[in-house]
Amino acid sequence: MSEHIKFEIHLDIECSCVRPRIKIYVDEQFVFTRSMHSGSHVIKFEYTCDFGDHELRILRSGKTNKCPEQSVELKRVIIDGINIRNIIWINSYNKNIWPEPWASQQREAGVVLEDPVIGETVFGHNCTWTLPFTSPFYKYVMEWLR
Amino acid sequence: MYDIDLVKDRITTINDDNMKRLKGRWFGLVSGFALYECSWKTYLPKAQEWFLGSKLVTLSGVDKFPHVDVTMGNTQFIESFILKHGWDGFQILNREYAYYGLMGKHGVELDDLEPNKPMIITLPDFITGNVRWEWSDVLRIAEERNIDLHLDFAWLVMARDIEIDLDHPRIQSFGMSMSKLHLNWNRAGLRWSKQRTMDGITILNHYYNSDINTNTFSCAAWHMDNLDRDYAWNTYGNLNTDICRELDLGQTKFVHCVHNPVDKERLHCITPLLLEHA
Repeated sequence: MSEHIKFEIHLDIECSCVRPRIKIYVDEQFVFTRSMHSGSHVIKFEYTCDFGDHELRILRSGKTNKCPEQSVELKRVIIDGINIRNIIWINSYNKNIWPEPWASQQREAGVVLEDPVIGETVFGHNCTWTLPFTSPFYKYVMEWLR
Repeated sequence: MYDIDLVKDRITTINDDNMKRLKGRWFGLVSGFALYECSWKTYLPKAQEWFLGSKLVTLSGVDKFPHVDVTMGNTQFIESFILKHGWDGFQILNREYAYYGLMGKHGVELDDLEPNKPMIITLPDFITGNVRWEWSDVLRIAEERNIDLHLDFAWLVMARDIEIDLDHPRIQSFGMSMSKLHLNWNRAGLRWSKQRTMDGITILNHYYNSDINTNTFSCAAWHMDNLDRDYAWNTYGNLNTDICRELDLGQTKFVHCVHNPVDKERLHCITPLLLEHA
């Protein structure tokens, strides 16, 4: 069995001349890509999920050592009409692609760089944010609450 | 023979002596401590069989709606839908059930339906006493504009000669209730969904993992055992035909509602006549 689910991804982006690129996948299915300008964005898409395990992934790229500051903030994720803020804080994780040489310098100084970071929703660096979930989605939410 | 003054503007349900006796027997059972207990899990398949067991109404494509949940009648079906989508997040057509208008929700004409905004629609309606005259256009526009449809079948228990094909990609759910036939005082029904979403009814059925409203569903199940699904038409059909013939009224799909040839904009109620001449 399967279900057709509506997704809404709300992003706030700050950048100047170089825009961050956002790619979104559900499982291995690519559903969205764009270089995003400064401002608030709502990305909507629908996806048919077979009952079982899935992953929503956001790939943030476009940040280099040469480009000015960029920030991408995941403000809200709405799946099947449900703002899953609290689930994100616990169940999502972000794998940063730390910039070099900064990352090496940190490690040499004895700083342990967290990887992945649970519940992180502000993406200063290039990264991949992941939310594992299951379908049917209403059951996933209920099981989480229990 | 039939008094035209007993054809009323206000629509009232049939609450005949048989139904009053049933109500009395039910409360007698309860107060007499006779045990009749039916959990919502037992009520659910019984109610499915009862609601879909009409020989006068044909619903096809029900198998496309595998998720069935118990409800506290169709008002809960409506309110659960509204809570999910928000007061401004759904639309209705003009000439809809008073519930929406009473709370300031106004309908639109067919051409003005917004794309991608779900709609709840009452079938059959009590303007025509039939399936809405523009039903095929509703389906076409819903498909063109990606409008999910949720069907309120509250009045179907009073109807006959209705065929509805539910196998349409935009029809997402429908709800039925016993209230309009008899149990306005103990509202119980079912919701069929193409896919289950998180909302009030889902929470009632799948989160509160206990004996929810056993009192309500016991009462409804007992009445289903004692009241035929097509009771209204089977009992009052001939009388309805006689009354309409003699008073020159137009029959509708509802046994208790007729059209007056000089006022076709609304239904008129013959419940008082049905009760007087039964």
